[in-house]
Amino acid sequence: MNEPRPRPSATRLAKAIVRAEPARGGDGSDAEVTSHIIARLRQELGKLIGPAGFDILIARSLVLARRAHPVLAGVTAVPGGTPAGLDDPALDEVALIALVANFIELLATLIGEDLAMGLVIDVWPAAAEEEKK
Amino acid sequence: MTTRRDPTIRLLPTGVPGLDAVLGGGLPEYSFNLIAGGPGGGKTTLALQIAFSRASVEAPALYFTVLGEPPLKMLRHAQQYSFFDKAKVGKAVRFVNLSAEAMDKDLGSIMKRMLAEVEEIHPAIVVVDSFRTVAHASGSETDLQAFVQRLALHLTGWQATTFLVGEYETETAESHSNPIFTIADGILWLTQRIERTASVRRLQVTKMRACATMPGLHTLSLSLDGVRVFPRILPRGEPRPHRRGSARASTGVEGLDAMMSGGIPTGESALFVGPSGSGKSLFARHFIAAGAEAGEPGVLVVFAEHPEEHLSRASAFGPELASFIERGLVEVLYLRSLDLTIDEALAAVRLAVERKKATKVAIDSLSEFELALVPSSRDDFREALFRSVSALTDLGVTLVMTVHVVQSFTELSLSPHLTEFMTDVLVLQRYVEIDGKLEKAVAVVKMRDSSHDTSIRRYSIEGGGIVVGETLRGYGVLNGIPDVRAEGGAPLPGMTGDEAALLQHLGELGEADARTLSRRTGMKGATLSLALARLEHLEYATTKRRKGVTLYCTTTQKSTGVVARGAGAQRETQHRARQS
Repeated sequence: MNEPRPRPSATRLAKAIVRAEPARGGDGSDAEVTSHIIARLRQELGKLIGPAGFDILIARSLVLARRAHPVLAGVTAVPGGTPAGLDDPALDEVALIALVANFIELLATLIGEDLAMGLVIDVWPAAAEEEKK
Repeated sequence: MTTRRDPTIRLLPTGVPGLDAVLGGGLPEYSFNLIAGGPGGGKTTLALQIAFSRASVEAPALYFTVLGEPPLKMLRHAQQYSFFDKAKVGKAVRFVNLSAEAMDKDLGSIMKRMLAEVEEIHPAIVVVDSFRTVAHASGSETDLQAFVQRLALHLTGWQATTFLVGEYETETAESHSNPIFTIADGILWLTQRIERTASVRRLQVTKMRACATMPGLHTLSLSLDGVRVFPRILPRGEPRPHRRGSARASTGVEGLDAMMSGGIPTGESALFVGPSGSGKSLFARHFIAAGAEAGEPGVLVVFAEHPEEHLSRASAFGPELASFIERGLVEVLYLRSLDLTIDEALAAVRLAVERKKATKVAIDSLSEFELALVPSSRDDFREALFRSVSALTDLGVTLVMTVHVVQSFTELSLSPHLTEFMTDVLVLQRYVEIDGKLEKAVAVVKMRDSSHDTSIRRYSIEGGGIVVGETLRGYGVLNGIPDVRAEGGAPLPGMTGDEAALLQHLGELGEADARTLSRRTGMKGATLSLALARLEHLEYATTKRRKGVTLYCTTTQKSTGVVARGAGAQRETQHRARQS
């Protein structure tokens, strides 16, 4: 059975977000960048879909991303916080992009691509511009 | 005339078709409203529709979701509606989820979060969906009252028009005692009722401070275009402005126009009553075609047949409408859907009239119209019809309606449901037997404030349509009772053939009991008893008792060979003469 994969637009946007985020400060490590991205998504989208709703989407995104990236096996969702295990040195940028892309894909599946992309792009408008290029 | 006073309350268009009319022009700005009702009534859809319609980036809508439908699902579902504008989400329409605060059951933190969002966003519209879950977080009624009071004050102070969405049932103890109902400026009840197998949604504005709202229950429909309200149309209570003096709208049938002094007075309503196959639909089509020929647009409303079938069948007889339809002069409106309320049906007709700028409308037929309605509208079809006639003639159109009646030969039925008094003109169609043939007869029974031909005329259906012919004389065509003439030709009014035959036998016997009469005439049981009772009633016969047996005898004179009239029958004849 083919594993469901995020649509290309979700992966492209996730890639652009992950690559745009280090510019916002921190040590620039993959774990730091991912924590920062999830915190920002929680802040903006949690208001719309509720903190519990956000936690569920992150947990599900982790499960979906692990299918193609078993390296994420050590990462677990933490209600109301950043997933634990993101500091695992085995994690690479590709796996973290997959996690974000699966989150966008899941959101798009539930509320439609236009709205999901629009909501995420509102958080990282510069990344969206970069993705278009 | 009553005018609004200061402070002027601006009425905001809701963006919900039909709702502004019910609200008396729109929603009062800065009002604090409750959208209440049971599940599935359309509360959230209504609130979303108003929010998306009103919101702009400059005057956004703030939509608080609490513990009702999860926000993800609400967004998923709401996107199916045509009013949902993705571009507005997050900018003009801001969704804020309060489920965490509600689960803590802390009214204080709910209030704090709501006020913080309001003060940050400066919304023009605020929705709390569902407020019922907020109310559940309150410890006591007093806490809730204080909370609602403070929220109402704050939101009005911040110039927001507010909607609390809540699941409440009508006429329960809660709806009378809940402080929300007291504090709210406006209450919109949305209900969904099952009527036999049909489901009907309705809206009622039970309260709207400073507004002249339309009372009563209004039909509400939910589709992918959102909520639509069909205001309950009531007669104006004013003289109809569209009556144009002595102007007449041709029926399209020359002979009938002649009987009606030129046609139906314009702006008035006419009812064509007749049995199946008597040409009612053809009369309706003649009427619409005659208008179109004169350049007057018309709408033909049909129910049973698809317009194409109707027109195809129509092309065989009488005026064809296809060319008028092509030229935009005629619209055939097909109201096929069952379970319409009268207001939905009327709205469809009114829209067609406005689209075509029609001056003539024909509804063919009321019998099928009744079947297309929901049970409650059918149950009170007279009221529905009264409102239909008023609504359509208030538009200024001349209205023709057809209705099917079962032709009876013992009574004169002018229409089912006693509806004939509602129309200005009544035309009766009948089958009559003449010289061994089934013929058709037409009579103009009434025309309000107008002279008309009272004769009963034969008509026929030919290739070109209906042709009205000569007056039928010497036939009892309306009551169906034949003129029975006795020996010598003297009429015996009021009797059927069987009764006359029975009298004849009785006259020959002088006197007889029921058994003898049964043997002589072949009449039995109730038929014989009824016939004898009628002869007694008309005083053609009388009874006497002999040895415990009832004997019947005639009251007539046979000396001249002519059966004279009974006294009762004579009195009836004289009474009829006086009436006429």
